[in-house]
Amino acid sequence: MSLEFDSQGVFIVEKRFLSLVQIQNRKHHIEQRIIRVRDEIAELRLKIGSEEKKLQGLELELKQLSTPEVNAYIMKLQKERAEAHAKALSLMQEVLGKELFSGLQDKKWCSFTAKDGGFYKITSQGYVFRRINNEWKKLCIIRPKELPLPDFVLSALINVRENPKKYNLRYRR
Amino acid sequence: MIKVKRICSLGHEETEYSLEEARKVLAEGQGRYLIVKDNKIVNAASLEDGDEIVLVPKLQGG
Repeated sequence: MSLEFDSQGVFIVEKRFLSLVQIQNRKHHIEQRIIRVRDEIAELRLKIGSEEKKLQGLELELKQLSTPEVNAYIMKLQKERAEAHAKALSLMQEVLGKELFSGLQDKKWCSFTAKDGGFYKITSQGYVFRRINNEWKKLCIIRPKELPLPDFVLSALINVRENPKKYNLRYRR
Repeated sequence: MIKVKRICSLGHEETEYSLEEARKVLAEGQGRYLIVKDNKIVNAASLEDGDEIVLVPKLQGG
């Protein structure tokens, strides 16, 4: 055992004798480790190759989805959607009347009594609830694809008010 | 004339029909739409000239 010191500190350096068997074992152990590490590197290289292919595919798809034609199409759809939303809001106000409409806009919900005499609530996000034993239970109503939200809210309110028993409670699985 | 606003995908369509045409159109869409006039459900037979109605899609429950 000897002492060494440098800028990092003072160290005890120990020497250990290796017998013939220990030398052979150590050599064998190192050879096995070298084989394992080489295998791991080969696997990683394969994985890198496959991930690089995936990356190239994703970059190509993103490039295709970022062409001026696609961007113009997206803008057109967004404009149409915004116009449909504004039209739907104005129709909702027209059908529901100012009071109910403002309730939905300001409070984000409004309550109503349906044909079955039950008490219901609808939110501005289109969720409808039935009052059961002083608790609001959510109903399950399917929103048709592409129907603007205000149109869905209006439709849900009118449908539930007219045929409340048609809609079941939503149960969490 | 009857002014009909139909709620459908991407906004609503607005069309004017004669009373007779309107009844025919409403009969065709009977199972699919509720007819709303002045925030109340009505039936096609009760429509009168000059009415403005909204056709609301019948929604499915889950």
